[in-house]
Amino acid sequence: MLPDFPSLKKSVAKGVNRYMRHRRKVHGHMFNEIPQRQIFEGDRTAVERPHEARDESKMVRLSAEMTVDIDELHAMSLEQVLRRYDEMVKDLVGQQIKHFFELMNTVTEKTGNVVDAKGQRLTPELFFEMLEKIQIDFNSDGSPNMPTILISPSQQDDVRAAQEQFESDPALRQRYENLMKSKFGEWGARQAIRTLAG
Amino acid sequence: MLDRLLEHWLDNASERSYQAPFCQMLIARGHRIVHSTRHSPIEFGKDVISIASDKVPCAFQLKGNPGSRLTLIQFREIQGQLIQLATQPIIYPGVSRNIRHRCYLVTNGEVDEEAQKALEEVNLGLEANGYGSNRIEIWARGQLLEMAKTLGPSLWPSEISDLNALLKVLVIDGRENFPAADFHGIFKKVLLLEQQKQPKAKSDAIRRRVASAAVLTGLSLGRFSQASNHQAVLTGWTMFSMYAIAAVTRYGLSISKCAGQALTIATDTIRDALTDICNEIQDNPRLGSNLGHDFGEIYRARLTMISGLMSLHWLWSEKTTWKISAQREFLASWIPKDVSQAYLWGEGAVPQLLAHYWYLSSVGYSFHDEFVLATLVRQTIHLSNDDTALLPSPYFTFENVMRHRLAGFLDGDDVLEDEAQGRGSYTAEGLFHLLVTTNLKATCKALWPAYSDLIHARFEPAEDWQYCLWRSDEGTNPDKIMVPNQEWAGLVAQARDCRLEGMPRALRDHAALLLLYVILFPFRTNASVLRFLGHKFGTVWFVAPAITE
Repeated sequence: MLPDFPSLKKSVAKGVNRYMRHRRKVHGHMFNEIPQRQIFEGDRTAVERPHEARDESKMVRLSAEMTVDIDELHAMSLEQVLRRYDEMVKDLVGQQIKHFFELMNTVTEKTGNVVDAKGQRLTPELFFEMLEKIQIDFNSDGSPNMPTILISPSQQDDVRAAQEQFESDPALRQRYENLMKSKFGEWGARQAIRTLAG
Repeated sequence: MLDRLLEHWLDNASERSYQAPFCQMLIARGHRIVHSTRHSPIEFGKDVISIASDKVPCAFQLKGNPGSRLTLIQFREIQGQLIQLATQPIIYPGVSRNIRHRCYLVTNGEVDEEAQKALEEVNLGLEANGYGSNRIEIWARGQLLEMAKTLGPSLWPSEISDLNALLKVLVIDGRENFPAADFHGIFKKVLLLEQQKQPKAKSDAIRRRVASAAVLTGLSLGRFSQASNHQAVLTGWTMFSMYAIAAVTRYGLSISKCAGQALTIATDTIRDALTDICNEIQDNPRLGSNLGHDFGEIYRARLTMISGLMSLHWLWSEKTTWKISAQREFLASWIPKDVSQAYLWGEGAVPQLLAHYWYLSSVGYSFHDEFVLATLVRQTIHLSNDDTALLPSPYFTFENVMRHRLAGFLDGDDVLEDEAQGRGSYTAEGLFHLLVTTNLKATCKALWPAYSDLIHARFEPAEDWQYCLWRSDEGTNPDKIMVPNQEWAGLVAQARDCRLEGMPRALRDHAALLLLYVILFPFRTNASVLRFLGHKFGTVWFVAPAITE
């Protein structure tokens, strides 16, 4: 072995790991809000719902790599190296998000929880249709745990327009309030049937 | 290289640490061990009694001379015992008194020439009195090494990565935790438990590999034994036992033929380690620590673990025998009757607390003890449901939890940093079923809304034998969503199922070992295991009888 700085490099490696974990959060945006649980073994996950067949998914391996020429590396500062790591993390997170959407599509199509807009633009009507399809839980103070809505960047203007329509049209606001009341009632009913009888 | 490792082990092993591997080597040579203990009064100097393959009883006296010689002075000290060993018949159930037994003096060191001459004189005296020639044989370092070599290096993994893992274990500070992850890789290779199944693994091959794994276990535990790290010792032998069961189950062989004797010796060694812990508590009842820094949380986590282990020691000894009968009285006064000091730091503590509860339930006189279980169930459900509380899954250790809590203060990774809190539990279902069998219906009804709102997680290995492994590459992680409304009768039917499905059948005969396994490796806790253990160790069962077949 040529003269080297093993102890220092071990510390640098730890620092790089910490940096990559931090950048994963930055690139993950709202995906960081999804609760995560580490899985330590096995090759599958599954969901077992009452009175339904078990829904199994095979785990997938996501990977990203980078290649740096040795001379190039020697000429780089740590800051430049970290930028390269950052690109790799971005790639990895991108794969993770892609897989997430693929999985969501598979599951929602299987359960029929899909609203097909048939090419039309996002309207308050479509928004109501989506809200009606999903289950909403409420906190103990009665406030709803509203879902996060993901849209494509091209739909930004439509959302803004729909939002304005909502604010200016009392009938739409009333309809929304009625829907939330009904959702609250459904949630209450779900809680009320949580009983052990007999 | 591996030969040198064996020599190094033998030259550093104390009498107590080589006894278990020695028994395993005898088993591999066709002996049936009928007696081996460090704690019972020695039967006229007979540390180990066995029946050889030719049906002749054999009595062994073991001496520890690591890296040294058995001197004449030492020989004189045990001469009286040796004469008793040779002249007194073996009085032991199952040992024929009509066949003259063989006698052996075993040492892991060399034997001084003067000591050898002294033994020859003793043998001549015995011959003159009609006990036959060469009545007492010596097995010294060379003989033990040969025995070990036939089982060891040829069957041990020799790839660099495996050797590294083995060397790491051999040089570890004996006060550390047992390195289960390293052992997992080594055992998998020795016992043919890697993913690719060996097509021709017959009884003889597996039996030999089990013995080989046992020698490897003994070798690897050397430094832990020297440091009197009893928890590491019992963890090593528990892993060995479970992996032996896995190998025999995987290849569809008979446990009694391939690993029965080896398991008996291993579990006996585990019980010795529990007895040793109890001995230490007797000397140090307030659990003072040489390592210092024993502040509140750490002390309470140690107390919870030690109470769990000592409760298991009690339950196990009551079902079999006490190695030191005075420990029964001592533990009756030492094991806390009040569980308020116990610490539910994560789901990993649940099996420890359950062992404690089963002890209290077995010695208690009132139904009040069952409320200990009710409290544990309530706490587990509520903490699992609380987004702001931290009750990590059983895959996380107490060390992980403390590193998370003290992340700003301690160096190193915080593996719990991104872990979601709330809504999920690995242990709530099994705990709830235990509560159902006590028929505390009103408590169950009150807990049902929160319980049924949880996501119940578990791990299902692809094959039964993989349950015995520290990690399984194949298997599913199901999340179960409960029905919101349930009939009591249906719940009782679930709670009565004690068939231990999805696990090797052999575990049904090793309930205490299984309880120890889930105390040490709590991620192997699931509803099926808890129901089975509850049926075996619980004393209150107020619903229809358990379903066991």
